[in-house]
Amino acid sequence: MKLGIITILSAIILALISCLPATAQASGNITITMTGAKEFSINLTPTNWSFGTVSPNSEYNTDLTQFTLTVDPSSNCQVNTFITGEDAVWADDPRAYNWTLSGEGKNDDKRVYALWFKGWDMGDYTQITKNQTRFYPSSLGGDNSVQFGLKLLTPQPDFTKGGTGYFSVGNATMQTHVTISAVAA
Amino acid sequence: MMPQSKYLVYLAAFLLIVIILFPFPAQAQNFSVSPVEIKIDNLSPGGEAQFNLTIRNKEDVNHIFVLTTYNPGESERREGRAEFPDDSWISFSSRKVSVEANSEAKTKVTVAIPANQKWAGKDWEIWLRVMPEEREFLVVNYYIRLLVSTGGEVEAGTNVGLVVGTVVGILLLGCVVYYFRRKAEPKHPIF
Repeated sequence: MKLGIITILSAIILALISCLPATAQASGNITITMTGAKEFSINLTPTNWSFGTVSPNSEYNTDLTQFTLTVDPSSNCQVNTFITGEDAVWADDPRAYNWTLSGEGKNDDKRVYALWFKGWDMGDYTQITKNQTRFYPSSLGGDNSVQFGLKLLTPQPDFTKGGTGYFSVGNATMQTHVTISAVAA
Repeated sequence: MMPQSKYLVYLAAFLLIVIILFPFPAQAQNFSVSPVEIKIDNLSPGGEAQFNLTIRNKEDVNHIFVLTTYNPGESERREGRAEFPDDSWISFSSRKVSVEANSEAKTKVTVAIPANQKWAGKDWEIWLRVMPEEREFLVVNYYIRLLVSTGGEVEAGTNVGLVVGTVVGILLLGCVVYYFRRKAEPKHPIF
């Protein structure tokens, strides 16, 4: 009988010993600091744009004040901004026909197009790629705004007939997105 | 056989060069997130930390926001911060958050570091991305900086299996010993 009691006590002690390290670590101090007082918000206008009807291997520019990025006046911290682009797809059937966004600002291959942006107070056009790059070179604060325009280079023609280049889809709508992101500086 | 006029329609459609970059309909533009930066210190490998993100929809229509992670380049990270090793260590209570018009919604974020000594004493940075599900031509995304510093020791989790196994094993051993001792005792007294 004594042996039974001793065995049960031993089991409980062993179990408690194996729990001890976890109990000790759980009481360690994990600090979570949130800068909840800071807030920012940015606005883009307009968010819609159409280049209209375009031809192969041609450049199209918007006005350099066509788009405006504004940091909301209620924002109480500086923000860094970034820009990325995407492939353009045929609205009716995105898998059937699309243009790849060039990473080099060229349209050497078929179905490769290029996009650039330029602020009215910036130097040259900067290429928009699928990799995130800085939009405005410095941080922006509350009520700051940046006006900018876009440049489009359409792909080479899918085929040529009688010296004229054509896309293989006609009367089509191509869709794409340009994303501007913000993070606390 | 197809009528000749139908051929002409197809031919005309094929030769037209009408490609337009055109946007999708309505998307969320006016929204904000908070906090804008979260710093977790002394999180031991094997441990986890949780916090809430708040998304404020300042528009008059409901919107859905998608949450993901993004590893920024070295030039965009805070000084002394390395790339977060594995974004699967970060989980969201919901990857998609629906926020009603002119209101806010919270989502819980969990950071769990595997119990391995090689992750001790590190300083990492990763960004949490909040983007609207509906998108127009120009899209706004927000990032939240997440700075994680790990503690120096691996956190040993409670090994329930080991504890239960030890208890059961010792109890069984006790029963066996008790059984053989009883068996070894003489059943009839010898006079």
